[in-house]
Amino acid sequence: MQKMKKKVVKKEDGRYIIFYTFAEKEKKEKKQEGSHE
Amino acid sequence: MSELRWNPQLRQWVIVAAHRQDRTHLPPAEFCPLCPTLPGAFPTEVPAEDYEIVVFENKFPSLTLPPAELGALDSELYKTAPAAGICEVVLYSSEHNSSLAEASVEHIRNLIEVWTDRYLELGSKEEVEYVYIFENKGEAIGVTLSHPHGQIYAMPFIPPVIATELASARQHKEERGTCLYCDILQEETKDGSRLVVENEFFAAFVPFFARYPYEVHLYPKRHLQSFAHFTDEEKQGLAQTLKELLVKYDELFGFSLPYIMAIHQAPTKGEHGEYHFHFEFYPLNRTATKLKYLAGVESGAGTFITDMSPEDQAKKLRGE
Repeated sequence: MQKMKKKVVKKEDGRYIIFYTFAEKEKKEKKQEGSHE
Repeated sequence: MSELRWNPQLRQWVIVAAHRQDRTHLPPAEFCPLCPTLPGAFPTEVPAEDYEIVVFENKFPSLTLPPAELGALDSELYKTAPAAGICEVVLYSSEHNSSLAEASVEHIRNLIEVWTDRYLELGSKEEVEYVYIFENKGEAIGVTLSHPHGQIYAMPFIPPVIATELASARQHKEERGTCLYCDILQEETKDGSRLVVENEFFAAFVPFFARYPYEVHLYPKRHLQSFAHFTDEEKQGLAQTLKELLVKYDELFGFSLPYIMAIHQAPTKGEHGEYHFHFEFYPLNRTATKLKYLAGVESGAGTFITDMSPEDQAKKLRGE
């Protein structure tokens, strides 16, 4: 199962926006962060 | 705001959405409302410096919750109904100059998860009868924003094309005891003359009865009604099939091919076990420089005339 995260935010005009992120990207970002350490 | 008006001649609803006349039309790339909002730059629809996949409510919706109040123009013959529903925009990528064909298989796989999530969430709303996911791509199709994106209409009725497909599937099942779409798939894979892409889980082909130039239908081999029924392997297979097909579309004339992508799923209310999930793609280019117009016979009589045999179209798409 693909690990998907969603974050729902209300915009100033009341409309919603949903940000979807995925485990692969999180892993890559963590790996990149690690390489700077 | 919007309202539904019943066309008693064709027995179908028309959405009257006069406020959409003033929507943003092909802005320059630096003022694209679908790009991320960069520091110091103008605020776009996305209040973030980057994103992977984003969904938001359309600024110019044809359908709303709650719906607008009805005008007083209806009569016994002329029926109106509230334009209840939700219109969403799906941003495929933060990259302005990209397309689904250029996305990785993994990214398309992620998009399939988003489509599944929206189908289930929007379909669970009381007012929604049908969740229609689609993409209009390219100026030839009439897009108003070139940033790679699709749309979702969560509708208060089953639209007529789907209603006709459902009725055909039901009748076929009653007459022959089999699924119409499974039988079409069997027919299309028999000699393979119209096949474009095939793998363990999916087949994409120019149908025997294609109406648009280079029209392709993409079916799962298993009898499934919606994204909600897909296994992980099938989602991966779909991502691979879509990638292969879209690359072939772009290779056809050597440019990013404009098309309409329609995802046909079962309605979200009631039992529709006879239905078979599929994609339909309608490009408009019959050559690199000539478009197919829906003219007198198509628009006025509802009969399509195609200029090339589906078998030759499939050959060209396969690169033969």
